[in-house]
Parts: sequence; structure tokens; C-alpha cells
Amino acid sequence: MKVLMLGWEYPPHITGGLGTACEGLTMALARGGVDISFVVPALLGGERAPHMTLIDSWDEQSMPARSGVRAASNVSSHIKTLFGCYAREEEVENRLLLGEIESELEDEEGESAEGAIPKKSPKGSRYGGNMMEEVYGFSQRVAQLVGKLDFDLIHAHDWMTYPAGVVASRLTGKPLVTHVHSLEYDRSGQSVHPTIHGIERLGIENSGAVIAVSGYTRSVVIDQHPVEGERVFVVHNGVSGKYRRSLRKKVEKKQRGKTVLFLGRITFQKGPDYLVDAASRVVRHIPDVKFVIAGTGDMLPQLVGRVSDLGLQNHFDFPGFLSGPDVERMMRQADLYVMPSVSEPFGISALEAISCDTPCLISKQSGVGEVLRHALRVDFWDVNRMADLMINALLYPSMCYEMVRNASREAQRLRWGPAARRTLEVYRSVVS
Amino acid sequence: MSSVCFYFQVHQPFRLKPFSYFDSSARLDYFDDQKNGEIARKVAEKCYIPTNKLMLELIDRYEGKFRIAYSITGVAIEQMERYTPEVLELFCQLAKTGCVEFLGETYYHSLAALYDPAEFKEQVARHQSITEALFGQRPTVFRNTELIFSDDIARLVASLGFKGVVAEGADDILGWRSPNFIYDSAAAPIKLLLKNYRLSDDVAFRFSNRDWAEWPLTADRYANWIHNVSGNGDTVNLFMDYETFGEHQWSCTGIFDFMRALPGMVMQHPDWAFRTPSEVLASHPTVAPLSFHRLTSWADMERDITAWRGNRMQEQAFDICYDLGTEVKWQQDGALLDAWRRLQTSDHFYYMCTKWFADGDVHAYFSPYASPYDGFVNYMNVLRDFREQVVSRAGGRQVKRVVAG
Repeated sequence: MKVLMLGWEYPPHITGGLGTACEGLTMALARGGVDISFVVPALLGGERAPHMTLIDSWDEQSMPARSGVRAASNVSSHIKTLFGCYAREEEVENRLLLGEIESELEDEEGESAEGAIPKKSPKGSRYGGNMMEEVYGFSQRVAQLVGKLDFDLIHAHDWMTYPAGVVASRLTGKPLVTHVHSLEYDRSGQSVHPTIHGIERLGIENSGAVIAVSGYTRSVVIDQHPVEGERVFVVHNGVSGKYRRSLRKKVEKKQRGKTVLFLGRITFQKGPDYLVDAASRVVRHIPDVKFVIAGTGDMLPQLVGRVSDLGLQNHFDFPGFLSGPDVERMMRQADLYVMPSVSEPFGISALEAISCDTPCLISKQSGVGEVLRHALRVDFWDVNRMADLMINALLYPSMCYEMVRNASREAQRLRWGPAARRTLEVYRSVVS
Repeated sequence: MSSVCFYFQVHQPFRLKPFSYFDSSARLDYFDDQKNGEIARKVAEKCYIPTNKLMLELIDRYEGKFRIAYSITGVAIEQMERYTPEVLELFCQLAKTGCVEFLGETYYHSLAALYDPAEFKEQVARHQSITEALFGQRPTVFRNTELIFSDDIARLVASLGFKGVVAEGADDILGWRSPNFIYDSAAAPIKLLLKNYRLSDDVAFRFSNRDWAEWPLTADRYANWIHNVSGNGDTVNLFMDYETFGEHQWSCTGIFDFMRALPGMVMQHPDWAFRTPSEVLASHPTVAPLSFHRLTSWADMERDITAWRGNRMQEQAFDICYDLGTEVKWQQDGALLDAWRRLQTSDHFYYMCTKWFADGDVHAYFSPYASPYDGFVNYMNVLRDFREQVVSRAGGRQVKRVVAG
């Protein structure tokens, strides 16, 4: 089975969960004998992917053309037409609107959840300032590439790659599988951005099959877009085994007292404001507790302000965006990991916390709860219950011990192997 | 002459209200009366009333030859008095037939035998009194909560004057021996009646399972299995939860028709008779001493106590609960004592069990809580407030603590 995969980022240049998920899935698929060509908008250096062919979309010039493949002429107008069908023509051309999108995303400063894009890369070279232009440009370059590659199907990860996926599918006649790691609905609730929402629809409607990272996301996809349930499959994300290898490392806690950790984008979707409100109830009963909010995002100034208004400054740390070994160290140090997401398609970070022997409190609106049963669960808006559960977790290490012990066993089963096998089943269903 | 010995367990806990860390109740109002009432009425309608009536019918039809035993917890009796007095009335009628024996147990269906022997004795004594008052019998055969039993418990029960105790016929305890004989406890002067778990669980668990090789089970086939014990046993002890009839096995499975037909089928063979536990003990000799070197119960494949005390949450909850005993008893406050004892009921700890709460596990999971962690949090919130109430009623005096060990 040969697959053309379209992604937006790859480790180590990741800004959220998307790149990590792609790495885990492709490695497991490769172990299963799948031949993968993985195209990203740009390779920024340091990427290692010996299990597949990692391609920079700008490099098509260096690749030899395959004989007998239809030339990709008139691609520009083809793509514009596609965009036109799913977004108002003038929106695509209208730089003012595109500028609006740009400023919405401006605050994210490269740190993001599954679904957003890195605005600035370390090398600052090929990811430009304008999101829609990037998506459009990527689809053009992929159109040029497809003539040079051999594949049975196309697998496109998240909305930024859907236009490229649709174009590739139309040009080659090969089926498209779209992989929904996130939805505009998750990011924005009822006020979805019409263009992004339209692009999601473009991808989903032109797919032979849709993969959702949780049952929760699957139900949102079916609810938000016209697609039959039989075409939407659930493949839960896995967690890589890398944390377990360093499991026995002892971590010195910097302070006495308890630490509660939030790690993610500081934005509406992730619900950090509910955590702050719950925290104000917790500190009255657990005086030496510290809340660590690791991340950046558009809501950060507002959050810091609220913490100050509530007089909780001494109980909060804002260390900014963390990556690499800092993430693991912070997770190991914490006594409790909290994910109060308003709408979370999956939430790999909860599994990463478990791999670091830290128990989790997750919102009931998180996809990961479908596969992680040994965790505390709460409706994101139920601040009193959130505080109740946090206090009990901090008071009773016996409960934390049991959660970690049992959740670790669950996490063992949640490796990328089963996800890859399920993905292969989806591939077979579209190729036949 | 061999015996068929039926014993049915009747129990309902006082379930807790949802209670948050921020809740508090000076009136010790921890128990969900509304929910407990609803459940009591539901179980009465599906199980207790129809089954009691069936038993009365069978006792009448076979003119005293159909004989059975019950153990009814004190907390179940209290809830019947409060919510479903008609059920209690039916049990009284059963008692009056003279064909029904009532066993002794802890009033509060607790694990006090493992934590506080003095408390255990008081709970047993209270249970004996109420059984005598309601049913006109003072129990002489004992069953511990969930059939939890060991040599130590044998000694404890024997010291209270019981002549026999029912226990699980666990394979590793029996070894090559059969549960179909009466044994002497190797640890104390008390006789042992062991549950034949295969035949008991055939009815209690497998009856409606269509994947079971023996489904559908008919009364004549089951009676045949009993009869096959002839020559290889003196008694077939069939011990089960009374809720088997109508609750665990719904009426539509045919469980009531099965039970209605069974006594006749069994008694077709003249060597077989229904006897109560005391009658079994009087009818057959003991064949050997038997040691229960480990704690056993009638739960799960392991037949151990890990369903109630198998993880650190449960251990901590038990420790904190029983630590309060000395102070609670010192204060001699009836309401405090009653609340503390209701908090000892085994079900609270059962709801914290993590054994079956596993991904992909299809084991039946009976709990009002969404997870064992929710069960633990709710119990500990209640226990924490209860402890504060206890301390505040001490009024500044140094609170009495149990001496460790």
C-alpha cells in the first residue's frame, strides 16, 4: 500500500499535537509495511523520518517527472474554482478579509493547538505571513508534485491540507482520506470562520473516507457537515513510548506543597479560565497549592488579569510555551494534570501526563476520555465540581496512585500500532 | 437421605447523597432518602414481593417439605419498615410457616470483623435482637458480610455462641475435598456449611446467559444435577443473593417458573429433602476439619476480599472510618453512632473498586457512580464532614483515638 500523506508540520518543528500525531501514526504504518510519501509545506531542518519519504513541497523541481502521468496544467484556475465553490470568490481574492484572518491568528505567536499553523518558524524562511496564501500555495505545489509520485491514495491531515488533497485526488483519480484532528467548531464554537469551515467541508465532501480522532469529533463532523455516518471512522490517537524510557528518572520537586499543571494553548477552546475560577475555591482549602499555566495564546493577558483580580498571584506561575524535555520535566513534577477543554477532539497531552506518572482531571468534552477511563472527569463549566475533584486529588495520594497505576495500563494499549491497523482498514475500504 | 439447602441473602445499603467537599451537614444528613426509597420500591416490585409470594406458595403446596433460609441485614429491614412495609409483612408470614430459618450477620453488612472485633460483636448482637423481635427466631447459624471468612473469623464467630457458619467452597481451601459435606472448622468449635458455587452460580449468574452451554436451564435438568451428587455428598448448599429472582435474572428469563417447578423435581427422588442450615447440621456428621488459612468471600474468580479492600483508596477509607470508632462510641450519641455504622456498610467500599473498571472489560459493573474515583471522592467528602461533626461535638476535649495494632 502506497500513500501520499499531506501534513502541515513535523517534529521537531511542532506547535501543537498535529506533528506528534503524524509522526506516531506514520511510524506505525511503516512498521505495517505501508510506503509513505509525506509532504509538508517546508522542511525547516532537523526533521528525522527514516521510516518514510519526507518531502518539502518546494522541492518538486528536483524530482524527476514520471512518464505517462497527466500534466498538471491549468492548476491555478482549477484550485481557484475549488476555493470559489466553497468560499465566496471575493473572499479568496479579498486581501482585507485575509488580513482579518491574519490578525486573528497573530496572537498565537507560533504556539498552538492541533489545527492552527506556525506563523513564524525558527528559520523564518518559507512559512509566510498569510494563512490562506500558505494553504493555497501548498495546494499549488502539491498539484505539481503528484505527477512525480506513485501512490494508491491520499491522506490529508487537518483543514490546511484539504485543498491540496482535493486537488491531488482530482488530478490523479486516487481516493482521498481526510483526517480530522480538529474542527473550526472546536476552536470557535458557534462563530465558525466561514472560509475555514468551507474548506473543512471541501475536504470532507471530496473524501472516500473521513477519519476522526475520537467518537466525540466524529459526532461533531456528522453534525456540522453533510456526510453519511458510514464514511466517518474513529481512529483514536496513540501515545508514543518515549516517555516511558526515561520513567525511572527521579525528578526533584522545586518546592514543597502541591502543583497543578495546565499545559496547552491559552485560548477559549482549552478552558483555562474555568480552571482559574476553580483554583480560587481550591486555595481556600489547600493553602500551599501552586497552579502552573504553561503555554501562550490570545487569552493569556486576560487570564493573568483575572488571577490578579482574584488575588491569586502567589498561587500561579506562567512559564510560557514549553517544548521538548521541559514538557516532560514539568509533567513529572506536577501532582495533577488538568485539561478543562471546552471542546477537545482528542487531547494527547493527557496520555503524556499519564506516561509521566501524573494523574489527570479532564473535561467530559474531551475525546481522550473515550479511551482513558482512569481519570477524574468533569463538565468544563462545572467549576465547583472541578474544585471538589482537585481538592480530593491533592488530599488523597492513594487515589492518585490508583489512577496512575490503572491509567498506565490503559495507555500501554493506546500505542500507535492499533491506530495504524485501523487506519489501514480505512485505506482498504477506499481503495477497493 | 441428602439435603438441598437454600439460603438467600437480602440486603440494601443506605446509599449516600451526592456530597461535595464544600457541603456540610450538622444533622448528619448524608443519605439519599429519595433514591433509597425509589430503589426499595423497585426491588420490592421486581423481586421481594413476587418471590416471597412464590416461596409462600411452595411452602404451602409441599406442606412443610420445602424449607429455606434467609439472612436479612438490619439496614435492609429498616428500609423495608420505612419504604415497603408490605415486604416485611411477607417475611413475617414466611417466618410463621415454621419452614424458614433466619441466619445471623452484622446489622450493617460491614467488614467490622476485620477492623474492630468489639464493634463486630455489637452489630451481630443487634442483628440477633431484631431478628428475634420480628421473626421469632434467635439465629444460631451465622453468615459474615459477603461470606468473608477465615480461621480468625471462625474464632470470633464461635466466641459469640453460633454453632455453624456458612462460607464459600473455594477451590484452594477445599483442595481435593467436596463442598457437599459438613466440615468442622480447624480453628474453632464451629461447623462449616460450604457453598456449592457451581450449582449456586448456575442459577444466580448463568441462568439467562444464552452463550452458556446449558441454556436454557430447566428445573428437571437442574434437579438431575443435584441428584447426581447422591453417594458423593450429604448436602448441596445453594447460597445466593435474593435479587437473583426478578432483579439479576429478570422475570422474562423464566426464573420464577424455574423456581416454581424445582422443589417438585427435586423431591421426585426420595433420597433428597429440603432442609434449613440448622437442620442440615443436625442431620449429617462432619467429615473432617477444614482450615481457612486466607480471607475468602463469595466474590469473583479469586473468592477473596479485593472487591472491598483491593486498592489504596479502599484501604485508606477503611482506616479513616474505623479510626473514628473509639471517639464515636465515647460520645454515646445515638445519631452519631448510627451514621458511623451506616458508613461501614460494605457497598461504599465496593463502589471504589478498580478491578473491573477497565477498558474493554465487559464485566458487569454495579455502581451508582460513573467511576470508582467518583465513588471514593463522594465517600471521603462525607467521611471528612462526619469527622468534623464528631470533633465539634467533642467540644474542645481531646478526641479519643484508636490505639494502633
